[in-house]
Amino acid sequence: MKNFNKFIIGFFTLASIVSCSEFETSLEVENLNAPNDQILLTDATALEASASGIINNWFQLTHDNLTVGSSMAVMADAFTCSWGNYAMRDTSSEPRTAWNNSSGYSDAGMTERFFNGMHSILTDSNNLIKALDNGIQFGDEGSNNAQIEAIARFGQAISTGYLALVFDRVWISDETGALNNGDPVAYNEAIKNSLEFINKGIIVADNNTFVLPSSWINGTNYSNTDLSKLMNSMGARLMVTSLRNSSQRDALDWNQVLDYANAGISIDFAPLMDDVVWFCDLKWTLSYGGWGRVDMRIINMMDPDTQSVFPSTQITIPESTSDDARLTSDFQYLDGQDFIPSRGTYHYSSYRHSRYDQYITSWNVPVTDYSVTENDMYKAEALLRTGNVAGAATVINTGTRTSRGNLTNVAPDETEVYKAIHYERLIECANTGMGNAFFEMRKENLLQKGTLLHFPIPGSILATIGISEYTFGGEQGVAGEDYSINGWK
Amino acid sequence: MKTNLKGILTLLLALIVQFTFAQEREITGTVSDETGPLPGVSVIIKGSNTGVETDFNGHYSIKTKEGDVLMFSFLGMDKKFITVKNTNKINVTLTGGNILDEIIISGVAGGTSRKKLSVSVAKVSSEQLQDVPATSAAGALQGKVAGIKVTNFGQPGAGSTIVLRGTKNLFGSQSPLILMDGVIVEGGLNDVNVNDIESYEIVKGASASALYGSRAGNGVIVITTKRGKGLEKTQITVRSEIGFSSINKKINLNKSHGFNLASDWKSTQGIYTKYEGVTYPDNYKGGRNSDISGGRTAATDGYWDNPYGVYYDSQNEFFKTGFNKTIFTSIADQSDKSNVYFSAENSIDEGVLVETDGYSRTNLRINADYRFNDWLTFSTSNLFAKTNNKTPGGGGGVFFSIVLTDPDVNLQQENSDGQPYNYLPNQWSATVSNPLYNLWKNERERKKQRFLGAYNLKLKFADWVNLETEYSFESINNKYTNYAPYDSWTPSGGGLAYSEGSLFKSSSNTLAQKFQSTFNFSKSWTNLNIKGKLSYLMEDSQYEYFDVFGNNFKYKDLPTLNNFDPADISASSKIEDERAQNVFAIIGLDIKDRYLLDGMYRYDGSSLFGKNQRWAPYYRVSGAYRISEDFKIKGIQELKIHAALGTAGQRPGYNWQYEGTNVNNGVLSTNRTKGNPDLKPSKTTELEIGLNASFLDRFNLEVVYSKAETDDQFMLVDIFAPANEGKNKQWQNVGSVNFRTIEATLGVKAIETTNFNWNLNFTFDTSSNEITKLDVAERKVGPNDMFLIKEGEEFGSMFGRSFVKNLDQMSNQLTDGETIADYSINSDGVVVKTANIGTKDEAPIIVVDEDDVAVISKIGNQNADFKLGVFSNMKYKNFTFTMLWDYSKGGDIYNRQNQWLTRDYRHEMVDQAGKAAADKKTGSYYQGLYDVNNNNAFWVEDATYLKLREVSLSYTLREDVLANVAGGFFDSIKFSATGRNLLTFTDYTGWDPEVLQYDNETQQYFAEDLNIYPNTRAYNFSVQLKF
Repeated sequence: MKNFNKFIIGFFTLASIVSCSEFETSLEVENLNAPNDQILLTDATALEASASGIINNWFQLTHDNLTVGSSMAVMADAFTCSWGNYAMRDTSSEPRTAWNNSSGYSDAGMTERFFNGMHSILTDSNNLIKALDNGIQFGDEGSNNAQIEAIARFGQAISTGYLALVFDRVWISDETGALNNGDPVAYNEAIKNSLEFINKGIIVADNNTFVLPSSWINGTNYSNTDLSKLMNSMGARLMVTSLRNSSQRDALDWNQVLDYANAGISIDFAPLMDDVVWFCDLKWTLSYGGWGRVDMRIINMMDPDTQSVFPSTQITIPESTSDDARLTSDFQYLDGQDFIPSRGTYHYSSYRHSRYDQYITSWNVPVTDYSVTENDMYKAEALLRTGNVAGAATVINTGTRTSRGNLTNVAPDETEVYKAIHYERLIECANTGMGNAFFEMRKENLLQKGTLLHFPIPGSILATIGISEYTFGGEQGVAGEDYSINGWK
Repeated sequence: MKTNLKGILTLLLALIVQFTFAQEREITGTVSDETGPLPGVSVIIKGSNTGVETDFNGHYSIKTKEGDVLMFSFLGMDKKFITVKNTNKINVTLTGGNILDEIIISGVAGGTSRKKLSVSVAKVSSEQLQDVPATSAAGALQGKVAGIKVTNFGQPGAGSTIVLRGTKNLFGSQSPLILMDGVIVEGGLNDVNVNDIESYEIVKGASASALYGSRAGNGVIVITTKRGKGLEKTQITVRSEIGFSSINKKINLNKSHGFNLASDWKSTQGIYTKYEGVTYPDNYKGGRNSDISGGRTAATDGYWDNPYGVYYDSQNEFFKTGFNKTIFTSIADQSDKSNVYFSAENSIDEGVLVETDGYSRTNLRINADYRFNDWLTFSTSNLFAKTNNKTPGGGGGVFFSIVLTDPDVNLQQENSDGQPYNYLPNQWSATVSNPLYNLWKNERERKKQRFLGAYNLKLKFADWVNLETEYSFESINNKYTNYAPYDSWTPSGGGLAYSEGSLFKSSSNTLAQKFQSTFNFSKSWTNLNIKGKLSYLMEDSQYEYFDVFGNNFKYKDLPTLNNFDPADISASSKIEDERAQNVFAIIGLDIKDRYLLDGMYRYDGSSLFGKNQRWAPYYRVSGAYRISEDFKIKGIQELKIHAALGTAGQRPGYNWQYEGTNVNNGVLSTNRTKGNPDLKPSKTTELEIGLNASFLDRFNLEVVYSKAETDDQFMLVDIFAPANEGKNKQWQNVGSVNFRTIEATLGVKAIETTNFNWNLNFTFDTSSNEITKLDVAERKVGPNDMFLIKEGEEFGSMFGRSFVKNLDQMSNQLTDGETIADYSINSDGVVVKTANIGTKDEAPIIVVDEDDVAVISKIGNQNADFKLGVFSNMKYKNFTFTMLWDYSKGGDIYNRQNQWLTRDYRHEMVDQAGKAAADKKTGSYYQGLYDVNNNNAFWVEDATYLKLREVSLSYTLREDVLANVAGGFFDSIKFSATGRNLLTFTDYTGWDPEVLQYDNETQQYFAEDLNIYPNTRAYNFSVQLKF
């Protein structure tokens, strides 16, 4: 009995201490830091939140310098940089070499992030459609169903489409699960798949009325009509920018491109940057003082008297002159060099891109991903390649060529019109959508010899499915299909 | 008042002394060791044959007179000499002595002397700690125990990593479980003051640590702090220490460049380097200047052998001699019913970086035991620690920036607005900002408050059984601020502008609680002693974190989060709760003092285990045989063999089992983890065989062989996103790793006389591992994905490319038309084309396979071959001289810093000045060696080092000498001078060969040298007063 009393004393003394504190004992602990799959698949609020982030996630993956945007810009010889950051030196050194596709490569994350991230967006988009198919209602009595469906289709399209722009093969899926029995399809097949998503999205947008919350595309209030236009423009972009060479260009259904472009945007697709959720690394990487510069090929396009390759024996070359007013409004002359000469004086340049200095100073202005000019150029090229040279010239002459460049009208000549389109894409659309310059140079067989035409699936990801590592560039892959053989240089 | 009282007491005592001088009287007292009263202790009046022995309760009584010296001796313990003064009661605590008589309490069924231990548990006693005043609680273990690897971090307050018996986990921490006075120490030992520590017990292997279950796979360190026991009077200790630290050495760098100098370059010598092709503004003094036009032209010969116009020593400007100081005070007292220990310590360590304040710490401790009666005892231990750590502004990148800086760059130049340290000090390096500016401008501060409390109630039911019930907790409050003022320079557009500043604040709180109830049994018969425990343990660790980031201050110099446009503020938060319920039973049998058997079983449930794997069992069986009890061998005092087989584990991290689609600023992350409800704890099974011997009355030897296997290894596995709902990773149990360790400790009492004692302690250990099973594809991890996890490989192996280094190798990869005669080995030991040597075309050649693809092979191993520690402790009269030598053989470091320095032509070897023309090599050749940041064997260096880790000389003025000082107020005064890391012998070319880089993904440390705060050498001086 005495011992029992002792036990009681001991137990209650310590129990009183424990009971004063928050001592939880159940081993079942709910993770309150991240939504689980069940929530993400079935909860209407969570699904709507997922929808709100689709365009943001896509924008960040395509404007982050930790993915492939910076290297594409220098591989295109639109910009130049010999610093090792973001694989710019490795991918733009001359002669071009194969992409290091080892998971141990210090910049392997660039393609890994892009691949995995786009598949996250595709999953979120598929889940939204699946939820609608399962009868989940968004908004009062399903009042938001249409905008959810439209944005989900758009998400399916841009995630699948951008995988196809960047990689040689794509694992496609939709709301029903993996397509093609889970095997990959070639990039061009994936583009077809993404266009199907686009078309479905356009139908939804065209047949419903809604206004997207401003945070979905920050600082804007896209109506169903605006979104339809954006999706049409994206259709044109995906069709044209996915081309790997001029043969594919010539075989393209340009009428479909024209249809998309005609129904495309009339205002720039330019989300407002907030430097928190919305930001664009490519702008500063390619134009900060001391960082990326404009490749001399671009300056040469504006001023043929300036050599397209920086003279190896010189450090300073005279300021260029051009009829194009943008040489002075969008570009800044520099009379010195930052880069180390032993890394190749071909990296030298006398200009930096100053057009987005306001953004890389204030960080809180809209940043254009898709300009009206870009859409116009798809329209113009589609007209050109469907035989309406005059129509193409009109489109060009009523656009930024004259309004910003103060250039004379281009004559309705097939060659001149094509040159004018190419010119606007590289001058006016410089450093807007990820890879735009690269895609244009790729399509025209202009990428330097040995430049990869698309990235391989990242080595670390191949390892997960037991596929041997492969790569492209240099002389790896099929000439003209996987790497460039006859570029401008 | 206190002083007056002391004075009166002193006067009274003096009178009493006068009165009783030379009078014989009876002295009584108790002799004890750290476990309690000690029977059979010999108490002899020195120089006479008069003596007595202590009784069963440790009591003695002896007639003596003032001035006599009493000698207390007991087999296996150090003798103690005490001069009889004006007191009739002398209590004595005996310590040290024969290591085999130490009492071990960790990992066993009950307090057990080492000679009866059936598992391997090391102990670092208070005496060892007193003689070598360590700077940190982890550092105190360095070199003293075999099988423990302590790697120091140079940054003040960063502490050390501790690894017991080699790395055991592919992913997850390698740190042992640390218990201090019963508290599970979650926040590391960095903030624990070593002056409070009474002893460490190091439970190294899984077999011994099995008692601690699913957190003990990496071993356990049990720390006991001082409690004021065994004192004959109130003891006050004041210890003051000051010191100075500096880096061990500077890195040699290239002092030449490879550009054409202007013909009149000497006209600006001493101001800046004037290059050909560059036009400078008038009165140019250096720094990036928009008025400069042109650019440097590469020297046609390609050699980097031209002088700069001016030279600065950037490392001198970056590093300083740092000051440190520690003030420690403790008060300890004991009465019949209670004992109490209070201490306060204040410590400041500036570190060696300019413009950086370093680390300060305040510790307060109170430990107490209260014996209500013969069956109820209450004990409590409490530590409050408050730290403030100013970490380098600009982050770790400043360490690379400082060596990247060209030697003609004036880092001290002002900015255009008068701020010091020109933000962009180098016209030719626009992407590298001034590291001094970052240190000065960017304020980074971490404030921490920790409270560790343990409350223990012991109820004695009978002589053979008691119940211990304990509640303990650790509370950690952590606040971090990263402040860039409004006028911080930053790149903007084509030039520079004020960033408008930013403020990042984070706060976290951890409350880790433990509740444990244990029945302890102990029963003795004639030939059998049984000890046992039956215990139930609950854990609950709650963690909460949030951070807020603001960008672009509205008002200058107001570092508050109120000072931002709401649109410029972002935030994140996290909560975690880790819970466990564990039950265990252990029984130890001691048959005839020679056959020792031990068995235990533990069953752990944890919320961290996957939902389908909530519980896991652990066990141990062990046995020992004291051969010397049965066979008396001449010269051998003790001989024992022991063997143990047991299991312990590691728990998964908090979120490893969950689906991880994180939300950042309201947007779903695109980097996602798949949940795993089947995730199990990893389990280490260890077989340990050991031998203990005490021989020739002066040697103590312990040899242990350990073979272990950790199954169900954790790994964050890449998974195929298209087939996994967009998720690209998953935590899985993936395989097994085998570990082998041999460790030996030899203690030598080299000399033992009345006035001179010399003890030596040698430690040796070697560990190796092999990944024996991997259920997933091989995986590269760590910095630059350099460390390959692959079946058959040792974890810690570096993989990468190699240059061709011999002609046989080269002959395998000749191209058409070439012969091996075209090639030779150059002065750097790499194969090059003979005709190209010394030209711009000279280039190292990568080893390739038959498809011309670079071969990726093993290029290094970060694990040392073996470690050897030698601790020497000499005592001559009142002098004590200690030395600790630490030798680490083998192991490799990947010197990424050197590789990147070569990329930027800053590596010393690029400097061709002073070389004979025939020996010169071009900058482009060195770019080839750089190998564009690929992992390459060329940059692997041997990490072998021999360090004089500590050397200390102290002199103690003892009570007899101090009798006439301040009226005998002082018991002792000890003066010490200590040097740490004074000598380092190594071929490693970096700042220091103790290099570890933390990798977030694996939660492991890897031996890559980049952006590391170097270890320093330090000189310290201290004085310790006891009264």
